[in-house]
Amino acid sequence: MSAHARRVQLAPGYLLHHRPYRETGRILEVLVREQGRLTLFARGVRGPKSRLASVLQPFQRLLLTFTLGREAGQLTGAECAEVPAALPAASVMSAFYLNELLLKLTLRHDAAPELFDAYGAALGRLREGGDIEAALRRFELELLSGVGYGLDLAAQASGRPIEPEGFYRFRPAQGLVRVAADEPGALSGHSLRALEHGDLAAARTRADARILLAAALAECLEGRELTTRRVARAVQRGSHPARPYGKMTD
Amino acid sequence: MKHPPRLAELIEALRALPGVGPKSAQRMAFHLLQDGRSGAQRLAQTLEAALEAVTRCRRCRMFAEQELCAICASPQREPALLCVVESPADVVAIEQSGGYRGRYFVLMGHLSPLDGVGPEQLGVRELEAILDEGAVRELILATNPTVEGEATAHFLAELAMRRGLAASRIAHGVPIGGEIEYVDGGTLARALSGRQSV
Repeated sequence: MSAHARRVQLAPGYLLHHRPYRETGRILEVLVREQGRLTLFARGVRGPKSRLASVLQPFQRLLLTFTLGREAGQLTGAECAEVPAALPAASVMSAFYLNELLLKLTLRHDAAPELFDAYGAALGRLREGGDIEAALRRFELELLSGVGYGLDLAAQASGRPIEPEGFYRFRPAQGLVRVAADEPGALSGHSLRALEHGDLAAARTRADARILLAAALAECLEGRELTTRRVARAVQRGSHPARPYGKMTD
Repeated sequence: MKHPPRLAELIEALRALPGVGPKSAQRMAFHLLQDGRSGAQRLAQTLEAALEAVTRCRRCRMFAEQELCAICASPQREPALLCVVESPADVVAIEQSGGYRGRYFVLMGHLSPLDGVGPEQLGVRELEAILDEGAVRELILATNPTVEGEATAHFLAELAMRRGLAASRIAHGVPIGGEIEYVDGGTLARALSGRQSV
């Protein structure tokens, strides 16, 4: 251990992604409540003798013990922080989507405890298997504000308030600007107000929220593709070929 | 120290093997050129011959020298059972267990949304073609008990059920000779929920 290494014990975290490393190791991307997103090397966690293989699974709240050096950290221990419960099959693709958003939009070593808690809450909602679409929209909003791109749903770019009867459009780098009601993709003021209060009951609000958040996320992604979306669509098509372009819940 | 170019190239080539770093590669190369020259000759020839002859089975995607592998070609195998696994090593493991008489389909991976691996990359079209032939009655899903493996199994179960075929998932539980005290919570929960009456 170098003089710069720092040991962190039993820190609440989630495994976001992992890939094999050498014969029996893994490289982990984890989200830790107090440290943010980190890359950790985990040696000897694959193979017949590993005790950690069953613990190091995504979507499970973990307690991680690791050392952080100047380079990537080393995982030295992990435990489950909650009774392991599988996500319902219908929610799994959406949960991978949350992970991809975190991997692509958060910075390493940038602690964001609120975002960590929002992610945990979103997983809880996906686990309950209720309104998946509402859970995703809510997390997208929380993520955008967590990474410094928060949407102001109460005011236009000009500073004037959003009127329920008005129609708006999201402009990258500006925010919401007022447009004519018949402009394609115009978002209703009612929807924006409802979304601000987390109310996604109306079909129009859902549709508008989808358009708005897709545009806001696209701005942050800067042209990078979300592979979980592509795979989820292919899985959806495979499962329901009669509806080749069926509505996605993400 | 700088190696002669051909030797350096050999060391570099040996690093294509899993788990072989620069040190081991150098040890292997020295051995092959020093004491193991006849073995090295044989290795070179068999490697070339294997690359030439060994391809994938047209049906199950397992390694094969003919168009069909020995299992797919065998009339002794039960055509109504098809076991789906993630890798060729899984086929070998199940064959060694000696308890299975059906055929296989090798996905060569699992659904991995974060890496962009979807049904297409897993040969799901080929699998569907086999199911549509009508001989298979039960699809046995033997993907790994990981989040990705479970997602893959669920997706394939839907493919089977849409065709009116039975789909089953291999059981998860306590290893034989193991002690319950040392089994992790997730496995134990699955073992209990999947309990069988005796």
